[in-house]
Amino acid sequence: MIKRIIGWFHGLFKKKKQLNLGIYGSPNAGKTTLANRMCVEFLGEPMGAVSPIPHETRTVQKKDNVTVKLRGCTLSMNLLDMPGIAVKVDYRDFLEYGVGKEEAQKRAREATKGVVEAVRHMDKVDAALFIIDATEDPYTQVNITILGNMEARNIPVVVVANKIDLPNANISRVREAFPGYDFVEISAMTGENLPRLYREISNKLS
Amino acid sequence: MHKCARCGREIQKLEEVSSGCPCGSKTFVFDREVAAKVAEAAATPPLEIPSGKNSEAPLHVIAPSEVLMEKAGAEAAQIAPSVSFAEKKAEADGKAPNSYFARATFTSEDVENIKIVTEGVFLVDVNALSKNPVVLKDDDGVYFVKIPFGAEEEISKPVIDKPNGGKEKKD
Repeated sequence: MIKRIIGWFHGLFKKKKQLNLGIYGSPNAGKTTLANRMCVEFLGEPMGAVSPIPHETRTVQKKDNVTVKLRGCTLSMNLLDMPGIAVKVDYRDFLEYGVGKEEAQKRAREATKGVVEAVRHMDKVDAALFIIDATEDPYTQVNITILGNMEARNIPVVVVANKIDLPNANISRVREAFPGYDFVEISAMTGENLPRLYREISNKLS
Repeated sequence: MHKCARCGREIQKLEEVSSGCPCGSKTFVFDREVAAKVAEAAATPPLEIPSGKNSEAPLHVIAPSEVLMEKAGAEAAQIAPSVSFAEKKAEADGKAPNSYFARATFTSEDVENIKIVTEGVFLVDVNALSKNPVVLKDDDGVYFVKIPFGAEEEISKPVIDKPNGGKEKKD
């Protein structure tokens, strides 16, 4: 009985837990572009740097108290932009972007560290957006493994087909690849369909 | 090895001992040192035998250990002449010499928890493997990551009995 009373008091004064929304996906899927758009829209400042070179985000980027205002409700959360997940990181891939060998090897090491960090952060997120480049083949080892991993951990996830502004985007191919998931097609670059994505996030987190 | 006691000629065949030396002498002396050298040369097959133009030059039998010493460098041979040979032999036998593991260690900077020391020889950081996904780095510096499933982790957690009869998973 005494324990119950102490627990009730503890709950009364305990700070309400802020929900963590993780943005996952392969390198160059558009995770940071989406995170930047959300942060600029709701916080007034971007999340991180964007680059055509893969693995630009190599550590978990976090923005606290991102408040998304929707018609009829307000949703506050911590936004986590994850490093791109890959099963193979080859420094030679960076050389073709003009990066020197030593810098490329350092980048590969940091990128691999980022992959490990992103996987370990799965235990800390309450919901996830899984970004897939709609111009690429969705049947990749990373896409299938990470989505399966989230399902195994009971993490609510929204599959987001990004880059729909590009002419070679194939939305139906992504939708057919992952039929059991909540699905939204967007363009993080132009902002197309983002209100619908926010509604899906609200449904997942509330 | 037998030598003629009069002219000093080394005999090539045992039959010469009974028939006598071409100089007419039938007395021979057995030289133990020369016999030992010949036996050693026979035990280690020659790697390089001068031939052709140099056929008139005295034969120089090169033992395998001499070749390895030459490759390892004079300095290394002076410090530990037998180590290099032992390592090469171990490698030839399909075993990884201890020095391979000595030079391949994990530091705090390393992301990988499995290293390829040499072909077919791996070094595993067991402590890091218990916390992180499997990360392997190959000879070319390419990283490979195996992403684990959450369900596997849940299964691996030990279940402990609570005093009140319930069960909980230990983190």
